[in-house]
Amino acid sequence: MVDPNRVGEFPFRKADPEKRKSNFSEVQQPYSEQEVMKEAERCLLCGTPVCIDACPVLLDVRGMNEAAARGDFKTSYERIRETNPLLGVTARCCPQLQGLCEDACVLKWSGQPIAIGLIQRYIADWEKKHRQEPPAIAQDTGKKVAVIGAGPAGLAASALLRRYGHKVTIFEASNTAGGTAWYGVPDYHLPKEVLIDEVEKVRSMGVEIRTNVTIEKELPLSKLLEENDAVLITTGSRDTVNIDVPGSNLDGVISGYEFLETVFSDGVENYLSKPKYNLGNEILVIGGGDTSLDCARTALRLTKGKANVTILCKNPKTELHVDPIMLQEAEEEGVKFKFLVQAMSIQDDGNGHVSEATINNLHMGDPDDSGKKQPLITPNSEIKMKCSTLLIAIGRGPNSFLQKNAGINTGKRNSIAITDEFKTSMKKVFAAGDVTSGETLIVKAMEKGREAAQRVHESLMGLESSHVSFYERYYKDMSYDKMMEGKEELGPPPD
Amino acid sequence: MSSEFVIKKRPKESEAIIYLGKDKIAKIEKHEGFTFKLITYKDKQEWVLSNLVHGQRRPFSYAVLKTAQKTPDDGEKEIQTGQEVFVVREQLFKHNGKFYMLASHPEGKSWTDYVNSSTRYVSRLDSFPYSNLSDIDHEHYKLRHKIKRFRGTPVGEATGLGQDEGGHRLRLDNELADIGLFIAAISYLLYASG
Repeated sequence: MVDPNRVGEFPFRKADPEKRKSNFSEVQQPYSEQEVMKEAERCLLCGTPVCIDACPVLLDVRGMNEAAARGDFKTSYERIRETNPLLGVTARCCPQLQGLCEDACVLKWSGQPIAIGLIQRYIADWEKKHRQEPPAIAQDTGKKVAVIGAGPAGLAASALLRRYGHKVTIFEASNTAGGTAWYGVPDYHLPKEVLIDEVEKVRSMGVEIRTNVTIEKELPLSKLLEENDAVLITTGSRDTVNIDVPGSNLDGVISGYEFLETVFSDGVENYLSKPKYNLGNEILVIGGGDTSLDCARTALRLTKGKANVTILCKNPKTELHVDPIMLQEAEEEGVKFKFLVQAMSIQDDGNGHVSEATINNLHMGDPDDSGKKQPLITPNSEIKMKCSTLLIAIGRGPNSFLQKNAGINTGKRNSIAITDEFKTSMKKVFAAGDVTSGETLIVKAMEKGREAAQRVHESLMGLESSHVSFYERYYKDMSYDKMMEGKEELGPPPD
Repeated sequence: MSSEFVIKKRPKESEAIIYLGKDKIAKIEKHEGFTFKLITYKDKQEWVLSNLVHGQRRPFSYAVLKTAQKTPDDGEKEIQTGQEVFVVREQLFKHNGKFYMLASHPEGKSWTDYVNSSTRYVSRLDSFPYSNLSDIDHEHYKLRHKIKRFRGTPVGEATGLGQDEGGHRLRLDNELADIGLFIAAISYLLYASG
């Protein structure tokens, strides 16, 4: 019988909270080679691998574990890389225990699931030291595709389009590729060298990445359409939701997304050498999602762990939309929380800068017409909290710049409206990822990038009528027996 | 009142036995292709279990289909092989006009419990915004965020693997009693068969 507990701590070993809250070094501690092999050995190698079913990019978890358990890290890497070009990024950023692979692992029903993220992370780190050949690329098709946006969706799409044999050029508005993974995920969660390396590997496949180019600003979309056989838009989420209370325009009231981008987009070391913000010692964050945690923990680190940082959430703790492990880490570092509260106004210090926030307690009311309970203001429950900086992280919508300027049809919240084949209202133009759906996980953006790439390829090669979903293909081709014989389908993606 | 099912993997691969309380009531056998057969012991009723749901192979999905054999409820009706009797689509199912989710996390329960516990819930989704399971297709990717988006009222719990000594254990409230056997078989195949 398999050991019900995973090797090492659950969910993973972490750096000491008292030390880590004053720097940006990685919180999650990796497995050693022996630990990886021992943990991978716990895998039941299920005939029906629900871990793969739960992965948006259908990463061959079972195959990864099978090879890792015997110390064959090369094969382990090849199996992961078949569907996931950002394996080091996703190993660190995916909330595996929340609806993804580790959550689905059958061992969860009787103990602790396999540490899939840690094993994947080890394999990614191993490959960095033992560089492997890129995946096989099909014969040149003579077709050219422009991808707009070098975030996770764009990178995953480009890697797959290149494997199909198309010439791919990515146009990225900022000066660095990576999208939200670059400017929105703090270094203590995802060290930048991991992302830089994986972007370089996509480049080494022959994908050209042009940065500092905003389509419909520096270059019109029409020019891209003249020069390419198809265009795929993956411009992500950018349009922030702002708070609308008295005082929200005061100095010291900052968009949390802008805050993270300022700190991380040119590298946190560069920021630390020339910091822009004077955060003070009483920092409030309004939010309740993963970004509010990132803002709070980043602010804490920028003040060397000394500031009082409090997150103000409208929802009760049990209804938060956050990764519970990230929440636990924040609590360990001393970030405080107030649940069921709402900021009503922000007070001026007399010089146009924030000094205080007035907040109200809330309580959950009866279900409304939609059946959901809504938070309601509790009368006579106003309190004031000192505040030197107020960070707002209450959500982002799709990046609407391109579709508004190019006249592409939009859907909810100015997202790009697409068909099931990822086609937009403009001929030869496709779209995928957060720009079509709103903010989601890195790995989900990659999923949609890959699916859109498949559709672009089928459209270019006249194969639309023979479309087979990735899930269907994986279900039939990646059988347990084939894996054990080493005959699973690896190579250029089949038409 | 509730129903307590236990599903135990048999030594022979791809077979399992379903118990209701202490009574052995049905078995799951490997069938053709990627399908299974569900057969009751008492009256030998048979169904096919397939993950081809609404024309497509989908993760965390199973359809219970009639076989050519007549069941006592069919009477004089013509039997259509493959007629869908019950379906779970991406962990959701509809019963008596209400929607439910397997392996869910109900409203009000701590996320720490979700991460650390080996119990998963069957929840009734009282504020589900769709009318039919097939309506959610174009937004199905949101189901991957299911634990962030859809929470409900617990009406059952499941825990354990089929190969454990205690088997895969599923308790269901009375409102699901009439489809309990189907849920038990599918819960085992989706989550606990290994």
